[in-house]
Amino acid sequence: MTKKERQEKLLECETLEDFNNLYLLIFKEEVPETTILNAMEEIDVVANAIYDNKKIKGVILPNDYNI
Amino acid sequence: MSRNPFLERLADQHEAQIRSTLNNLEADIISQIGKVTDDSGVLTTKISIELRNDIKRYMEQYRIQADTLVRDYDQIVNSFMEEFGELNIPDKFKSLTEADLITINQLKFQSFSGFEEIANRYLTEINANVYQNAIAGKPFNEMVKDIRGLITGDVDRRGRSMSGYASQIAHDSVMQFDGQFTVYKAKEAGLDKYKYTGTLVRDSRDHCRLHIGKTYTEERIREIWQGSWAGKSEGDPFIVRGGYRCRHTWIPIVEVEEDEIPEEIIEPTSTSRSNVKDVVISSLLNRGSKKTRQAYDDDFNSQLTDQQKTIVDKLEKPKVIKNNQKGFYLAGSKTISAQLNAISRSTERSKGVKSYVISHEYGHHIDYVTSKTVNKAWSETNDDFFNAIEKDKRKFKGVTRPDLTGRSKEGYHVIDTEEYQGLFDKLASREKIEIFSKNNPNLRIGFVNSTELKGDGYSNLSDIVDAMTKGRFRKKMNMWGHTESYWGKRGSVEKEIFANLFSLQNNPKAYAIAKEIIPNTVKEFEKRMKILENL
Repeated sequence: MTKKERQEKLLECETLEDFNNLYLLIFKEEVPETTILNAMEEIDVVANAIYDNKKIKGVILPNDYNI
Repeated sequence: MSRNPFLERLADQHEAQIRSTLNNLEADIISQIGKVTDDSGVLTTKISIELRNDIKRYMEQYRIQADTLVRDYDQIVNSFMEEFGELNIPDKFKSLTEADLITINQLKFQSFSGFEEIANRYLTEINANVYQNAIAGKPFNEMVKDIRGLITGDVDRRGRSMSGYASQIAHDSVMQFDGQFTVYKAKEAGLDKYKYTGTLVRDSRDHCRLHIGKTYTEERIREIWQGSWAGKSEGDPFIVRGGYRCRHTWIPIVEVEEDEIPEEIIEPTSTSRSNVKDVVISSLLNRGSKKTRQAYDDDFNSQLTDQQKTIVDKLEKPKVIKNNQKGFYLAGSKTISAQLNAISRSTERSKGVKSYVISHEYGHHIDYVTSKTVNKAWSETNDDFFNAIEKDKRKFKGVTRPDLTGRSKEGYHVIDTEEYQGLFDKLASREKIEIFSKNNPNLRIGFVNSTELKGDGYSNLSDIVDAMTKGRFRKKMNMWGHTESYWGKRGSVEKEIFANLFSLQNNPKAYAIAKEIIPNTVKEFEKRMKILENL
């Protein structure tokens, strides 16, 4: 997807689900775990990753990790 | 002497220069459209396409001006080096090296890219607008209004004008370039302490007021800047400083003791009258001044009922508590991480509501240390609690499927998405907002429906609903909760609901909503609390 196409698709997204689906379409993988609870905050991270064409560096949670 | 007055003056000059250039650009484009419209004042689509070359040519004025502004950043370098040269550092760091010059050019290029992105975006918008108006046969006067709305914003339109964006970039780029170059040179010289400097004006943010004149290590700065405040811009603290249009800067400092976090950051928490003595957990904090520790205890106790205080007091305490932005509980090491006076806000502009993070994480601790099963929490092993959640889910419209784990005889219920809106309306309202690029805070990259929570503790309530929908409530309604992968972990639903109920019990309004949404689960929770109280 070109930069222009990514920008256009970003403008069509409204919910975190839309942004996550677009991320999956572009990077062919799910948005990784970020431990962010606020959907708005995660949208900010995902939208920027798509805009900059850079994957999000996720975190791997230990088994005993409760958020 | 601080170079702040110089930077502020330069930022203001650049802002004025870019506005003036855009005024000329707008006049040129309007004049050219005027020349090619027919006698009835209408533009043909063919000519509107031909106009694109002219508009592109006019846009060059803006690019040339942006280039001139960025070249001006040499003045920032000179001013910095003058101040830097007065510090007690080895002479070799007091002059510019070849590597410095390469870095300066890269930083300038980065700043120019910000201006250029605006040019590309608005060139497309202007061309599209002219063409659409030609198709619609709009008269010249109407077209002029549209162009003015787009370029200088002199005529109201939806969205921000090119001049609005570009002038903010012109201002912020000066301060950001200074911030980037400052930290680069300071690191080169092995300095790691910085003083937050500049003048305060009527509109200065509370965050800037709090930290102005204070000296911190780089590590401490990054820690403090993880917090939230009105007008905050996400990004590196040395670049974004207090936020958009912030006039403050960092200066490197040699051989000076760092300041403690200003005491004013610690807002007192009002505590209600109680018959039970407050519990003290601040001694478990890994760091913090006396005042911070007192505030931590106050915040925690304000989130607890008398019954909860009794329970906390008699049970084993966590090993360590950290006053960090990220809230979590590590069961193995009995570590709590929870921010003092945590706030849930949808965006940096919103006021936000209280989020009961300390009691939520402590709720996890209680859940684990009172469990009879090793490495598991009570809530995830108790069938009555599990079945109460399932029963509460079935109150909502949805589909019940066989529970393959065999734990629930009546099956596993999936709540229909149709129910989400009603639940959302109990907890939040919606507002359409813009999303900006992190690398270029002036660049809008999308719109989104933002959520504003209606009361304290409502992010905890949202998390309960999200648990019942395994993350779908959060992602479909832009709410608070956890990711679907987190909810996929065995026991996560029960554990989070337990911790959320523990955190909400002392807020009658929020707890009443919890009772309304999950009445059977609340009953089981209260039964458990009674048992713990009488241990």
